[in-house]
Amino acid sequence: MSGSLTHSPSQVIRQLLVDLGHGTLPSAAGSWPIGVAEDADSPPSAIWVRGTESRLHGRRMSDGQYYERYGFQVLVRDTRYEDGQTKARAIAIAMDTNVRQAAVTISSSTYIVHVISRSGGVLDLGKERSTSRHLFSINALAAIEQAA
Amino acid sequence: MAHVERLANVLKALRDLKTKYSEGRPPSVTVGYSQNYAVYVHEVPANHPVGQDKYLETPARRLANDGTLVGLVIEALKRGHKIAIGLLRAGMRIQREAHPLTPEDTGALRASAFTCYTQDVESVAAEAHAKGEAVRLAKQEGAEVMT
Repeated sequence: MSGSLTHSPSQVIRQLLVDLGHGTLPSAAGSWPIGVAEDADSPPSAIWVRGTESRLHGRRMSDGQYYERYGFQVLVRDTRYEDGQTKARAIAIAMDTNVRQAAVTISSSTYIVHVISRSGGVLDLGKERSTSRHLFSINALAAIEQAA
Repeated sequence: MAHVERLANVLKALRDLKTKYSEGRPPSVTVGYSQNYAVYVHEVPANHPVGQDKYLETPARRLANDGTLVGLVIEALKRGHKIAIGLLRAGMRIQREAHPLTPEDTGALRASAFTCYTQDVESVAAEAHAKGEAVRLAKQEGAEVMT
């Protein structure tokens, strides 16, 4: 979909992942905090979502707006390879199977995530150079519309 | 029930076009980088003095969004080439646009870029990797290398 969004696509996806039970908001100080745009150095097991280049799919004749699928990347970090890989894989499967017209609320704004299309598998990026923590990434496109 | 007239003619015309512009199995082109740290540098956000992460995905999507890639394929078809040639040109354009966005330290990553038909990717990627390694070694030895 297209049109302006009050919150960034990354914030919407982050809230969606929290709603699906794959992490927590950083303010909640729970396990698997999910940040937006930047990662925090701790805790070691963390997730963050950032925006990437979107894809445009034609224009509406009525008002000229583009149908846009917002690009985003989910990065997963953990000191243990198995735990990080399992978490990344669970998120990828959830994006494939648990997102159909999903309603997401942030503050007083409501969004509909119509569908998420992954552009590939879970990428094993190896270890962070400075800390040797394992990194994984998932890249996808999301059709998001602000409902209210 | 709706009746479509001369549907057989339409189908024949489409098959003729397919025969004219494609050959054998569906064509596929790969654009990539063959240094073993390429995917790490591509995926992990970082402040690079030169270049950026997502150095291949960003130009690929931009060129797809503005119609450049489709335009290159159409141009090739209009000139009587097969679709595979059009795809190759589109891939080379992506590689060219990615070049200045590719982070540079030793120059090895940039030198390891390649575009080829997917069926040839093993051999072409190996060549590109060797080229990247040669650039890295030359840099270590203090030689000036153009990338």
